[in-house]
Amino acid sequence: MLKAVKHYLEVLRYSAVIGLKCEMEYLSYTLCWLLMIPIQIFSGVYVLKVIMDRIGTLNGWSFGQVAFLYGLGVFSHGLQDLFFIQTRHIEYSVIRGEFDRFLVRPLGVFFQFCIGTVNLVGIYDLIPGAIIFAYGCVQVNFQWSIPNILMLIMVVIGGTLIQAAIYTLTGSVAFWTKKSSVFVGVNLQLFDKTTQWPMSIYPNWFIRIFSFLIPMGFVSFYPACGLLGISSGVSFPLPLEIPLWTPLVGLAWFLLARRFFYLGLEKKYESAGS
Amino acid sequence: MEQIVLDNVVKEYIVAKKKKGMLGALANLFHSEKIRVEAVKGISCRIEKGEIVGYIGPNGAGKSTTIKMMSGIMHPTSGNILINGMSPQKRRKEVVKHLGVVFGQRTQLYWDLRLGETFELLKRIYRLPDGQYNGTLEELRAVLGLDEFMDIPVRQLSLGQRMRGELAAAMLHEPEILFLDEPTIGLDIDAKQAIRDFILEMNRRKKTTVILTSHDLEDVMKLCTRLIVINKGIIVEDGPISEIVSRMATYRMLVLEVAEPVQSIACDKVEIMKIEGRKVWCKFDHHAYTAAEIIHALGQELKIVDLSVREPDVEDAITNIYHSA
Amino acid sequence: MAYLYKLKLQVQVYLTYRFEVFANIATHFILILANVFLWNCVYSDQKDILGVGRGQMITYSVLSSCLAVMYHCGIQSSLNKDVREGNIALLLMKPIHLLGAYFAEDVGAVAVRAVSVSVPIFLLGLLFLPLQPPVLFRVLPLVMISYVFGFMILWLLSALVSMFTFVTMELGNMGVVKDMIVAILSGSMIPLWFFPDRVEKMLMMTPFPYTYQLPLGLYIGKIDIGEGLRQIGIQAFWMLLLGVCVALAWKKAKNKVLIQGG
Repeated sequence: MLKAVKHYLEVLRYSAVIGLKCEMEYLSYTLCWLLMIPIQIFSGVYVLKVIMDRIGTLNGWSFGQVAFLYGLGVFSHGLQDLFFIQTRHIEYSVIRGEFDRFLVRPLGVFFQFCIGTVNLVGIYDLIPGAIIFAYGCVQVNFQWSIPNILMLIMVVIGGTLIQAAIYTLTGSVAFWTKKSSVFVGVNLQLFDKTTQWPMSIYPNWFIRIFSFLIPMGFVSFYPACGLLGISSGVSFPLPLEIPLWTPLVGLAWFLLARRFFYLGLEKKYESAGS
Repeated sequence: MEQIVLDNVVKEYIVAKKKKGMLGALANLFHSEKIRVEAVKGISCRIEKGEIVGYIGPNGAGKSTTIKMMSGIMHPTSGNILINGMSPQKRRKEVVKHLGVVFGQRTQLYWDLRLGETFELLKRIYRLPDGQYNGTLEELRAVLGLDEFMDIPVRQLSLGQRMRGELAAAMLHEPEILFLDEPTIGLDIDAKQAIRDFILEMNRRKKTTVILTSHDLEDVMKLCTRLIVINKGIIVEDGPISEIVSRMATYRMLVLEVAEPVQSIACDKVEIMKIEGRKVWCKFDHHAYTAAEIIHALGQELKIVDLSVREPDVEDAITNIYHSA
Repeated sequence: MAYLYKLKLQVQVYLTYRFEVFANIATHFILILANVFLWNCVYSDQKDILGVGRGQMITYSVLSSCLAVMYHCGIQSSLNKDVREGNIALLLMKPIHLLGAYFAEDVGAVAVRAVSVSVPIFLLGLLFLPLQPPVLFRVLPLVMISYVFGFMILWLLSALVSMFTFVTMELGNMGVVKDMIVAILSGSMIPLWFFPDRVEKMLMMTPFPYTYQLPLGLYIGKIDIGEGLRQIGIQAFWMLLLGVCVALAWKKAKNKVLIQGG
């Protein structure tokens, strides 16, 4: 077991090195991303700021609290970009038969597929995310205690897994239909709307769908509620505002999504081309 | 030792049939017809360690599908495949450790990286010890002449260089079995020769079993001892290459040069193919008659100045097989 | 005729992907729903923000999404791809105006998207969301004109940005950056009258607000007919200016390709 983990980590480490080298080859592309990503992230939060300047608070959330939530959402989005960008391109790989080369190597196909591109662009998300998060932390006077820091780390990892799981689940549909890229744009938008806005602005049924059917609420909304001491306003037998839910839900969904990916690969993959 | 066993392997695809035209496109929004296509219809064969087998057939015969099932990429609809006694589908990771696969039409290398970087990654994936890795790499560099392009990004390599790189990547972990799907496609004569030499060398040194598909019959002739011919999803021939050729190419070509122009020949032992002035091409069944008999018979009728007999080759045999099936 | 054929082909290509058509409608609707809820929440304590009521604002945001679907500028990716893959020299040899061909393709795509996504969403909006009919039916022709002009502005802008690829093939797709800038500065996410006055005044001097904010503002009655006509005049100015820029850039780019052979 330990040997296997070491093996996978070693391959991951070298893949990151390769990712860095590839990024260097296309340094000019980087410029494009460096322009676009901060514009996108800052403009998203600016829209909220502009609205909240007119009305004060958003359903009880102050702007500092919204910034805290927003930053948290951007973190897991960035990590998802860094390690799981490939899960957005399952359709392309299905159509082009790109899984062949992973299948003929003695390592998990899903693992090889994901780390095939360690996408350093994800790091560019983290920088503006960190700025907004830091602003939020100062505004709400967030306590940097050890348990809080540990919880934050767990939440970001869990949130990353949740988003990767949803991309994998929707993307793997392509094994059956040959089409799934339409979900990518939708997921991106949905993730923004559910992780960067406090979900309490939505009606109860909507929140429930994005908590229990699609677990987006656990990426940033519930843990932010928990860490900031705000009630989520969702009635449920168990308190949802415990940050520890996020890694648990994330792991469960990630394993489920991985299973679904393998189901499609084993039952439906046709390795297109000659 | 039987290294590869195929037992009644079947692969079916389901294909959606689309209607044409503007109205058809609209109708397809709601419903499209599905049809079943059998790409491989129950094939069985056994391959021993150290064999070099040519697996050939016309386009769409099911060659690539078979190779992909043997290498664990696709799952057969029914039937059994065993590689080293294990199913490549059920125990994929164990099986592929001993496989090397090259698809001529698709790269396994990283487009933006240098060969050396890809090899380093493969070293880690296959967990090759430093000593073994360096030894094999040294050997591959020498045999394939990799040194001249080790430090150029793969996307800038010529097709021949890239293919040599592919072969090296597939052999790095010293697999027992090598699947080559059209490894010489699009290559020039020198590059083809380099690849053929390499395959023979690896087979001789390491007893590597090689399964090769190619449309270039010269590959097959120069490399393979055994031929498996597949057509429309069924194995139609399986045996030593010389035996298949002599059985399927029953005719020999006789080219005569005669003293005076002729119009026709009365002898019924030969079939006239072409007459051009004083030159005559005809063929005869070499199982029924010997060349000497034919020449004797023709000599009674014509004044032969010069003649040559052409051996039947693989190409004739294969054409016959494809057309008779 | 060649352009019409291109247009028709594009319609057929799109219809081939039924899965995409249905998924597109459903997913856009969910996203619109999220926006509607946001505005509902913003308006929970007040009837009126800057002279615009809840119903008007929701209508604005729903229609903005419909409009985004119809503001499709495929030239951005197709031209980029054709240059990068080296097809451009070959395409320039063909006896049709290449920019015209791209334009025809995009118009075809827009027609399909309008019918297959925007119209269903609009109807769903009328049924399930507090989507309002236009204040005055008389403004509808103006809304249509400002949409067409708005499309032209965005398309010319896309064409211009794509031509950067001729100059610097190494640069990635700047179109994405352009899209991002348009999204925030055009009033598609949030009307510009929410911004501080100085910022709003400055933005009104760029072409962006005349793509989204003008047709939407006309529809909900925030912009009256007189002001609308004035802004359509400004649209026409931007169209002309961008048109001239595109024509010049295209000529330069074409020469570059013909001399260097792609």
